[in-house]
Amino acid sequence: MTVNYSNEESVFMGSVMAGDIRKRMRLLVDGEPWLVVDTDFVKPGKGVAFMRARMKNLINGRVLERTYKSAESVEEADVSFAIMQYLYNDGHHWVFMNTQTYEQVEVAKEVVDEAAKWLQENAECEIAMWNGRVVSVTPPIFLELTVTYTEPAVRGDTATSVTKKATLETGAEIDVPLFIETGMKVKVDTRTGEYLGRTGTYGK
Amino acid sequence: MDKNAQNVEFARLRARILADIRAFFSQRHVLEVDTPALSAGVISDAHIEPFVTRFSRDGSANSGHILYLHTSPERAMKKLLAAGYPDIYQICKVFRNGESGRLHSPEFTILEWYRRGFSMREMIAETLEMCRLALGGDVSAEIAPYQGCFIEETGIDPLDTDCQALERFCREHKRPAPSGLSLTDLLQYVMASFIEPSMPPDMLMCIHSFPAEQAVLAGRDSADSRVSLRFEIYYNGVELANGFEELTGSAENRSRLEAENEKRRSIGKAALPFDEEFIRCMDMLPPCSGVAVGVDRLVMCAAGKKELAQMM
Repeated sequence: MTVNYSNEESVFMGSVMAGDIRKRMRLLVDGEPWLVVDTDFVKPGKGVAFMRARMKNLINGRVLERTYKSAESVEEADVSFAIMQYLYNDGHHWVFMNTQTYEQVEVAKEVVDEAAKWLQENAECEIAMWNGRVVSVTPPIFLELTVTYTEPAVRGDTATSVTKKATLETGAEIDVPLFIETGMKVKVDTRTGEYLGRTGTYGK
Repeated sequence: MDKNAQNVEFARLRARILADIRAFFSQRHVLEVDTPALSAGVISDAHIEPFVTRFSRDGSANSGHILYLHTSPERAMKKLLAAGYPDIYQICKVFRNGESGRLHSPEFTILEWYRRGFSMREMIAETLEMCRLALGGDVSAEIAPYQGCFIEETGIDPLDTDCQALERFCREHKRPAPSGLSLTDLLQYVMASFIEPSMPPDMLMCIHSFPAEQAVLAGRDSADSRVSLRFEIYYNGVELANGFEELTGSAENRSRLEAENEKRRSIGKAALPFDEEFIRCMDMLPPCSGVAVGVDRLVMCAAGKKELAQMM
């Protein structure tokens, strides 16, 4: 049994005492929004308490570690997350739709960035908004995608490698085992680009 | 193994360790005592917050006598020693407001014991033996002075340095310190950020002879008054034990506690009421050493875990 000593659901308050920083809180550091990914309460036996926070920049993905005095006040960044469905793109803007309000939002190419190669039609993505603008797009962690091209597996090929390249329907290129063929569906981890396995029947 | 079955295993481990601890002290003729957790007067510490409550006959929260839950059994146990008790130990819950994290819980179990006539060195040896009950009889130990350790890790002499040098070191080693820390705070920040995490793994690390400012009720080293007779024992960077040769004499104890209250006021905290009887008793405290061990952390280390929450 664990006891909750503080309110785990973080409601945006404007500022927070460093000792109360929790994972998934959004902090304003050097004028930019950062997402707290890990915290460590550090207190030597007879000394002042510190809170160490590891954070990820919501705009450029950089990682930072900052240590505060536990009683220090830290500014929060007003970042909200929404799940939105990817609709389409015209090369300049990627369009997402809030499945509850049907509201559509256009996200510039630079902000979509690396996520673009994982955007399967209708995929539900996590959109982070700060100061009224979208700052990041995160695709679903696991996706089942069709292989649109890979070199055919040649029998008797005493390959020097165990994997080959495959291009997926969304444009991503990953390493797959030699038996995978064009048209097959594979499961991928979008965080790492790792091939996780083959799924079901051939894709359309 | 599902979570519940694992928790039962942890409970068995804890029960076994507690039984071994009791047998350890029984063999050494150290008496188990049980002192009150509530009191009107406390031992003030600049960085430890007690939980406050009220005793009132009608149960009202807003009137009645203010009482504090103990943050350690030190005050009560020292009074027993001053009254003539033999060597004593206690295993009890203590309460520290505001402390919560991977290795901290506002409510935790402490094992604290006192040995008449023991020097700091003898106390270190006995504490290491006690830790081995939980961690294994073959666990090796290293004993090193604070000053030496600090110089080895940072090149800085902790007894002869300033804030700028320490801040620069932290910056250069990618762990900048929060701004506005005092010299003592910075030394502790360096210990926690650089020295503790790089201790050799799977062995008991004892650091002794802390700077005097970091040990409120400890005696001073007669050879070097900048240094106190305080030690700490770590395992895999986790602080397990904190002990010292105790400070005797009412005048000295009073002035140390007054200084702590002053420190509290200077950082915007309320001063805490003394236990005057405790201060008077300190004239009768025999030369002794005492140590406090975090039992939950000890059991956690014995189970090979890194966070208290994993044990629940």
